Amino acid sequence: MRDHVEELFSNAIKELNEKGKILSSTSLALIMLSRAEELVSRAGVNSLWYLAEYLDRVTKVRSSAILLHNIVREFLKRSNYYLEEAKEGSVDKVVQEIVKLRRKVINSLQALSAIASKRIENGDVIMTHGYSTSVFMTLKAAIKEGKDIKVYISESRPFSNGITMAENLEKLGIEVTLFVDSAMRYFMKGVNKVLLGAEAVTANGAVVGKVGSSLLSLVAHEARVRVLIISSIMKFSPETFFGELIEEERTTPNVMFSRSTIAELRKLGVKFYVPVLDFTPPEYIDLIVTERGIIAPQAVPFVVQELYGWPPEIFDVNELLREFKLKVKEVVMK
Amino acid sequence: MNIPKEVLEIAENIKNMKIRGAGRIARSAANALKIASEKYSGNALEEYISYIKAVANILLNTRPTAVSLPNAINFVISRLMRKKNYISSVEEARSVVESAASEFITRSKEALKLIGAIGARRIENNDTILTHCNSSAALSVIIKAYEEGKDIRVFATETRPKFQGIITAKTLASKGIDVTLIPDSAVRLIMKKVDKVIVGADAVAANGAVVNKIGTSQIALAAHEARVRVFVAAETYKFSPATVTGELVVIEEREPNEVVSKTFLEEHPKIKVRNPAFDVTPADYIDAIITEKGIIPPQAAILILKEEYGWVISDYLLKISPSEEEGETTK
Repeated sequence: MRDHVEELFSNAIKELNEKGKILSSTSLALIMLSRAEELVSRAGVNSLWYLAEYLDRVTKVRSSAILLHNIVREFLKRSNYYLEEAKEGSVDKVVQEIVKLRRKVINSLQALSAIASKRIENGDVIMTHGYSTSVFMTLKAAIKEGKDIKVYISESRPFSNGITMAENLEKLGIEVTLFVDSAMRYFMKGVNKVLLGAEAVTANGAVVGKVGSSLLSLVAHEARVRVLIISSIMKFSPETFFGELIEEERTTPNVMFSRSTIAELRKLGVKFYVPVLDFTPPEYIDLIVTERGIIAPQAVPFVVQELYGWPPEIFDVNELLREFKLKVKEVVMK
Repeated sequence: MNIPKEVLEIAENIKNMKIRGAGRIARSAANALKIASEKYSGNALEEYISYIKAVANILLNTRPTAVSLPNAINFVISRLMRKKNYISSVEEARSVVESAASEFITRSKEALKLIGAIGARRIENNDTILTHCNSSAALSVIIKAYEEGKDIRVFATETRPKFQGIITAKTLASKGIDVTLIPDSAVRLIMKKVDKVIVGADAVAANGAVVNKIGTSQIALAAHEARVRVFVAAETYKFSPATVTGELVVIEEREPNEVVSKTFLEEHPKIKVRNPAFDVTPADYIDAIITEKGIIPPQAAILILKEEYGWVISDYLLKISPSEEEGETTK
């Protein structure tokens, strides 16, 4: 039994190390919830310790992906309550909670893509950047509605996940044009909408996105092309209301160049700076499409007030994790 | 008079791209005119002039879209035309053509050094510079500033699809300059840390718009947004005379397999991969163009075309080097 949990856990960590930074935060959230469910439903109480460890690692790998933090926060809040009672069946309730959260993520995706696709018109030429699950679902919904659209997508270095996006859109039968990130402005003249996903949305309505998103928004703004952010309200960051800054994530040059090239350049003294995210100011964003409807970026505080009260009441994820671990210890001892 | 075979050979090599690069094309064309003049064996002035013009036409037609080529030719021919009425012998005409051709060649060779010296004056101690692609003129400015003892840092974009940024990084690092490679997508993010942008140019249009490696225009836009100064380092022979009469600069699209692999293209027939090599940066986003003749605002591009290369509008309308009547009125 124990070996089985360890195997599940180590596989989940391996997967996290490989794809943790590359995947869209929604894809990563869905994977996280699947792995969590596998762990707990297969190994019961014994798995909870590993689960705590796994959740901790996921939130650390993507420190700026607010969706993950919010999901983990919600999960721990409920689970701590169930474990408090330490009654029979509390583990089942933990599993149910995971399933519920996954349904919530999927429902929100469906709801927001249904709203966002209404903003897409027949004949639209859309430009996007990176791989966003929300943008993909929106385009899919638009196609289902029979709209004829074309998509321009930049390869989206350093991870080149624009290429994955292009492949998936090709499967939907969409006419896709792929180009290097440098050509955004070159192609903007023929584009009439920009769609982008989000890693986080901050208190002032700024959007944290895959690096290059803010450049694309600027280029769109210059050409008077509308910029639509497709984002679940679960990505709104309550912490930023208290001045918390979103961490500027970086990655290694290994995702950009071969090892031999890097070694050769390092020998000469060349340095590398490989950011993962950038920040788009609210002035360049026309609207944010959420599962609760469309809002102006400046209206983010209203949504946060609805979700977390005012001033927003937030629980520290690390605090909740510590509590969870303590409770797990008690339950296992019993 | 037959066109000498050395001249035809040069024309052929420009045409089949054995001679490439704006500087080399221009110098070869000037050299071809010089050879043609030296090989002229007749004695009639009128005949000499039509012969030189014929050679100029052959050279012009080798690469109709090249920018430096018509400049080199006009540099020589316009000097001949301006002096035509004061010339009485073939000998005098020859000396005008040959010394103009030599002057062009020497100047163009020295241009990079001069651009470096002039541009470096605009770099201040502790500047952080962003550059794109691999431009000898831009690098000349950066390296000269460093050699003058200025403490500078450089961000170099990787420059997809062909990674010319790697060559830039290597060149600067081997000189001891602090250089950091960044992905092209990070240029707006990095702009906060940048004091000056320095890029090269493939061509400068009559209105001061700059044609350069794809990505330049969005870098200039991001710099403009952040109020970071943008300098373009360009030899004067890159100023495009054709644009004076409204010709558009043709942007070449290169093979898609520079962006993705051939296998990818075969596996994804419905994904269109487009690979434009250049883009156009409007003059509004450029603070100054650093040439070997000095620093000019981009809007003054027409000055360079008129003063340096003797272009007047009708020259191009005739699709041939300067007409005799117009040639005299220029100075």
